[in-house]
Amino acid sequence: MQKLGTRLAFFIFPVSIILYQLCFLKTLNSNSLPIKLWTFAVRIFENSVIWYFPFHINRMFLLSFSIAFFFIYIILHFYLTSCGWKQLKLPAHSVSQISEIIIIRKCSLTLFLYLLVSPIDKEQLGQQNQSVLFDRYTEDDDTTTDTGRTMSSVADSHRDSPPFLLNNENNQESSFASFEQSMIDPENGRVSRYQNTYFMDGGNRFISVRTERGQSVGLIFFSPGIFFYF
Amino acid sequence: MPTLGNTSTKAASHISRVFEDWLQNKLYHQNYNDGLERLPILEDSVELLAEDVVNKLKSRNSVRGLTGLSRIFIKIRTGHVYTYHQLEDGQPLITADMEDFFQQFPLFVEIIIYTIPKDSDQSFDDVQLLLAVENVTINPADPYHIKEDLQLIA
Repeated sequence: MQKLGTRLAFFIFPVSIILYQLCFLKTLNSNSLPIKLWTFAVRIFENSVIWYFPFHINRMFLLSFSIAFFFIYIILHFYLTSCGWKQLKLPAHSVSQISEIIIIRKCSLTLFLYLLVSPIDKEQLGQQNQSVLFDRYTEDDDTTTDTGRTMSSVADSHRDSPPFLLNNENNQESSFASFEQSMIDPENGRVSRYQNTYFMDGGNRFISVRTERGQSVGLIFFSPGIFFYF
Repeated sequence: MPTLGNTSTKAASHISRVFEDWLQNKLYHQNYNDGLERLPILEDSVELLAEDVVNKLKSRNSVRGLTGLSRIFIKIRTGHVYTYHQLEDGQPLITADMEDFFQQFPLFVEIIIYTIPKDSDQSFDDVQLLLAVENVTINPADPYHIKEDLQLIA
């Protein structure tokens, strides 16, 4: 029964999405049919990601989608700007506007979803390391996956080096890096910087030498009274 | 005897004083601890150094001076003077007139302290600390990191 439900869901969702989008087809701005169709297709594509989302709670899935989106839209953008419009007989700027908006919107949407999912996903991955949802089983053949790998090869690869699992160390590294970046950012006026060097003789003597290098404006920013100079 | 470096904020000067205190202790005890010829700090493991400095910063006396900060990033580099980086204007650090000095003091520990003050509306008291320790001969360009939340209320 459960399997039937899943199958139905996979079938019903796209259909409902298409119907839903058809309702809005009228509201599309452009009068040109190709543009309408293209926007329509994009919307379906975009929404199918959202609707399939519960079935694929996997950050790598969404990340790859947002990357795919990005490239697809970049390519479309260049296609449309170079030759697209001559066929469409539209003013160039309108199409480039459309495609730019789409690039920004779609990529940010998927990235947003990706960020939204990542905490859930991390938790889930911790619990069930083995079942990475990236490989979806095709319905007619239960032993192979979308990517054509067999059950055993999938299991093997997960055991050796789980490619999509986040490894803690990397995560930590990147958090260090972002922390560091935010602190050494010269644009950040709130950061104050202090540098000193101690020279040692190898025994127990040492000398402190002030090694000034772009002494920060932090002092100015630190005292709120002077802050308004800027 | 050490001199205090010039600081841009009170907190940074406090941190630097704590660090100097740590350095002083480190160098002082080094000679008594082992009879082996061993360079202080440079021949210690970076992990241990980092832990040591973090512990020092977590001590009661140190934490007292950190109020009003939200983030601290401390970068420590150590090595032989010849591996010390060039100054900003491209001049080598060691010039002829400094040669004598560096013959006496051939090792360096450089500390850079970045601090961000707390927002006025920020209610929690923890200070985020990131420490990066780099030994130019052991882990050049690959500093060892430790991140800690320092609790100001003991």
